Amino acid sequence: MELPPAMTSRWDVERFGVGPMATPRQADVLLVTGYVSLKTLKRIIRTYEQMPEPKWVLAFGSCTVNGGIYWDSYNTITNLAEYIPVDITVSGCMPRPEAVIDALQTLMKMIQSGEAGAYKKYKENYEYYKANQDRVLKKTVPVLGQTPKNDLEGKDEDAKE
Amino acid sequence: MKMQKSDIVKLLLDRGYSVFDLYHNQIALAVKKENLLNDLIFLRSIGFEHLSFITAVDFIDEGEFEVVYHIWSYTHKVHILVKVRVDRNNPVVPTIINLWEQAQFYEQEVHEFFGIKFEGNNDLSPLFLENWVDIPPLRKDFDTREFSIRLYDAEVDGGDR
Repeated sequence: MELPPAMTSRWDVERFGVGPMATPRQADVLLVTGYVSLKTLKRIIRTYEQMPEPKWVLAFGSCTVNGGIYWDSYNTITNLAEYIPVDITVSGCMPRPEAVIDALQTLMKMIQSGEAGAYKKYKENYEYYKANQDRVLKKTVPVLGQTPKNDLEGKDEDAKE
Repeated sequence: MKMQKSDIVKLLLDRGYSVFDLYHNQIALAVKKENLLNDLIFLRSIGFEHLSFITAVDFIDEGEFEVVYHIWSYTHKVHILVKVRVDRNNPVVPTIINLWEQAQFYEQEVHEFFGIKFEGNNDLSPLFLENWVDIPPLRKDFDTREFSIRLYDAEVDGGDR
């Protein structure tokens, strides 16, 4: 919601040399703008791994840091940095376009000074990230230990029919 | 021919339904599971030709699910909630995909989130959740907060990240 005004004439991030890209393979920065559900996480990982290096991740709003108002939802992750390396976060719910511009400029400074290199961390600690990703995306046992008894029986019967 | 809401209420009361007057254009109807299809066919025959939505409510203390069918009439401009109670331990209701084919998606959704089985519907595959192994998440005995804490390392009140 903040990106259209940030990209268009009122705030116009293009004057700072930032523009949207059509595909992940052309992009340098991935902006994750808001709460991340499990389905979204799967696609974010795929998008992130498609991007050529060097690449950076900007996590947007409180939802990507600690879940925000969705922190106790059964389907949204709480901390994006456990699954892909995050270079910089923007606080706010939701952040103003000025905050986006400020974050992008700070990221540019960090890149100049060599501080921002989380994509190297992703390769070095790939096992850590992969384990976290698999833990939520490929779970096989019920997290709360309650087995969906009636439900599974119903599904088996459906399959037989 | 357009009927006033009061006439519809009277008609339904005369036929022995338990009718609850809710709002200026909304009434609720409690029906039995055995009569569900007949009652829906009757409502459709008097002008309630549109099925808007199917949802469910978990009355865990009473040990029952309530499946709610939202029926709308373009002729009378009246919205009827048809409510049917089923046993929580054996939640089965007859499917209505032969009456309204759009019910397919609503039945899949209610099955996915409450574990209610729709007898006669052969495709109750998940629509929204991917790789879900716990009990259906909108049941009241599913602890979404505990789930989030265990699976996503959610911190109560946001933590101090």
